[in-house]
Amino acid sequence: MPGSRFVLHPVLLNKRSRLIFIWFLMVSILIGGAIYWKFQQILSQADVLNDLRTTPLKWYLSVLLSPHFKVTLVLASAALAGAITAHYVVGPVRRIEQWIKDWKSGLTISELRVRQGDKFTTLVRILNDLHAKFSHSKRS
Amino acid sequence: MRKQYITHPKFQYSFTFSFVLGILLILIFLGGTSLATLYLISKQSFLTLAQQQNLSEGIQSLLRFVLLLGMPSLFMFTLLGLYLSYKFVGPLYRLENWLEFHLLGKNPPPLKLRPGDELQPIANILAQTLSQKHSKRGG
Repeated sequence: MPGSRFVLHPVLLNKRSRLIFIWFLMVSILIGGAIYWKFQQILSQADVLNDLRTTPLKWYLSVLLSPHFKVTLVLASAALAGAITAHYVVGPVRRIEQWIKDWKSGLTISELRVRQGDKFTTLVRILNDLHAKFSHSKRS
Repeated sequence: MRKQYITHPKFQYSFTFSFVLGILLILIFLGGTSLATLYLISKQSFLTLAQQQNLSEGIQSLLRFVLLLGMPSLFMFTLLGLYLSYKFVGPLYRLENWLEFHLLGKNPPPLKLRPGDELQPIANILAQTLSQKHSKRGG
């Protein structure tokens, strides 16, 4: 997927993103555990547990009821929540940092534009102004 | 003196919203799948009418449970998001003011952030970059 790098890289590489993922994972495990407990209680009260064990089920029900699917769902929801939050919170900071590194090493860089960076509008404007200021003085 | 945690509402609310979005996703994913599973089971022909009736009631009970579970989680993550945004906003505005000085051609004293403050890597690399640019310009 072409955009996956932008969604996942902050989660994999940044310390703060990993922490955000761990928080979401813990909450996901707690919420998932509580929902699963309630789910089993409802099935037990409705007296369908035995029917579900003995009757051949449609494939999608077998998947939905399997413990592997539940564990995967908990992990996937924590990863998705962590990735989206990191994308909004950590992603812009990472992109700004990379732009400054490029500027420092003298690479030709264009104007800094940060997606999801509405929180950093002022910082981005000042950095662009500074970059323009030093570029002009270099030329003159 | 009372400590004020909301100093830059627009920034902080947007930051906090990112956390709330995460927890909402978890609730929708886990709660939604369980509700859908119960609904699909209740439609199975091998169940008796009484069992289907019980499962329909169970769906409502699970929905209430998910909402009940969601409220403290949302509250907790809203607080966490607000606290982190508060930790973010201080260094960000100090960094912006410090850069404004550079933009005006003044030579501000080195930017000092507290240990563990957010944006420390950006502040460090900016300090190096600006000092490099100033020395190139001077030389």
